[in-house]
Amino acid sequence: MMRRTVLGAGAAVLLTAAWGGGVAGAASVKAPSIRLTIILATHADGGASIDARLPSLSRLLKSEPFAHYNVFTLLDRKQFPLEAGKAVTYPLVNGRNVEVTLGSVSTGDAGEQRYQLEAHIGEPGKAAYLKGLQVTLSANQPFYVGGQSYQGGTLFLELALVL
Amino acid sequence: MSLSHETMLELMALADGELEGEARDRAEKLAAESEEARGVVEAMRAPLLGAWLGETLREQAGAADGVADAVMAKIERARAEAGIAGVVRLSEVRARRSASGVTRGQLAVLGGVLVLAATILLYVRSDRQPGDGSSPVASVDVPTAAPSAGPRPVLSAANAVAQGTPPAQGVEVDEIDSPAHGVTVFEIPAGGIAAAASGGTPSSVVIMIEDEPVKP
Repeated sequence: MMRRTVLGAGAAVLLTAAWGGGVAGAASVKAPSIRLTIILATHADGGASIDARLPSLSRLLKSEPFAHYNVFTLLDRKQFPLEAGKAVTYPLVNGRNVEVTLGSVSTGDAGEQRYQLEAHIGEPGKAAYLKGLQVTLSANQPFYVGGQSYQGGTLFLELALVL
Repeated sequence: MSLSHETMLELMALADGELEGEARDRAEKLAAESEEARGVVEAMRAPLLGAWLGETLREQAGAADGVADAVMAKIERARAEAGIAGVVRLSEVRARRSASGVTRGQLAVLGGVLVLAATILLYVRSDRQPGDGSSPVASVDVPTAAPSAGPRPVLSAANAVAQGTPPAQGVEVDEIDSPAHGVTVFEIPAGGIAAAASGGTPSSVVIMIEDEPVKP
C-alpha cells in the first residue's frame, strides 16, 4: 500500500511538472458544462436543517469543515457551458465574481476523461480572494471552495463539471 | 507489501533517533530488509521533510477574524487537542520561505518533498482514524455532530499544492494561488462523497480560504 501511495505521490509530482504539456487538447471531447452551486452554511442553536436540493451534502455533514455548521441553505445554482480557454463568469452574492475556465482534457487511468479546471474569485479593484486554482477531475465530481463570510455564515461553492 | 501503522510509527521514531535497545535493533533490521521501510526512514530523515513534519505536528490554531476564520481556527484546535497533525497555511509557508530566502529551484525540490511528507502523514493518519466521510443524514433534519476525522487535510504550499494520495478518479488539486489569504485543503475520502457522481464514489476536496487577508 505504501509503495502504491508513494508511487501515487510521484505521479502527482510528475503531473504537476507536466502541467500544460503532456495532455491532449479539449477539441475532441463533448462540450462540458460547469455547474455552480452556492451554499450558505451557518450554525444555529435551535435546529439543524439542510436544503433538500443539496443531496450531495448530506453525506459530508460529519466531515470537516462541514461539521462546524448545521444549517445549509441553497442560495443559487447555475450551469454554464464550458469552452476551452474561455472563462465563465458568475457574480457571487457578496460582490465578488467567480471565473471558471476549462483547460485541457486528458485520459485518466481508467480510460475516463479528466478535465483541468481553473478558477478565480475576485472583486474588481481589489486584491483577488482566490487568484488562481487549478484542479483536475472527472465529470460529475464536485469539489468545494469555502470560507467567504456572508450573513453570519460561510459561503461554500460547489463546482462540478457535467456533461 | 504494506507497513502497519505501528511499524510506520516505529520507523518514524527510528528516523528521529528516539528508539533504543531492542526496539531500535528491530526497526533497523526491518529497514535493512525492507526497501519500503528503508524508504520511509530515509524520507523521514530528509531535512526539509523532517522539519516540516515536526512543525506540522506542533501547529496550533491562530487568531481568527470573522465567522469563517473562527471555524478554521476551531478546526485546527480540535486537531491539535486530538494530537492530530494540523494543517499548513499558505501564509505561514510563504512567510517561512521568505525568511529563509529559499530559491525557486529549492522550492521545486521542496514541492516534491512535501508531496512525500503528505503521503506519509496521510498514510499514518488513515491507519489511525478510519475516515467516515459518509453520514446517513436525512435531507431535512441534520444531526449536530462533533467534527469527525472524515476528510484528511492535505498539505498546502504557496502556489503549488499536490495531493499525497491522489486517487485515480478523484479530484486532484494541482495549484492554489491565494497570496493574501490562508488556505486549508481537506480531502474527502471515497465514500464520503454523495452519489452525485455517476460513476462511483470518488474522493473530492474542500478548499477553505480565509475571508480576511492575512496580516503581514
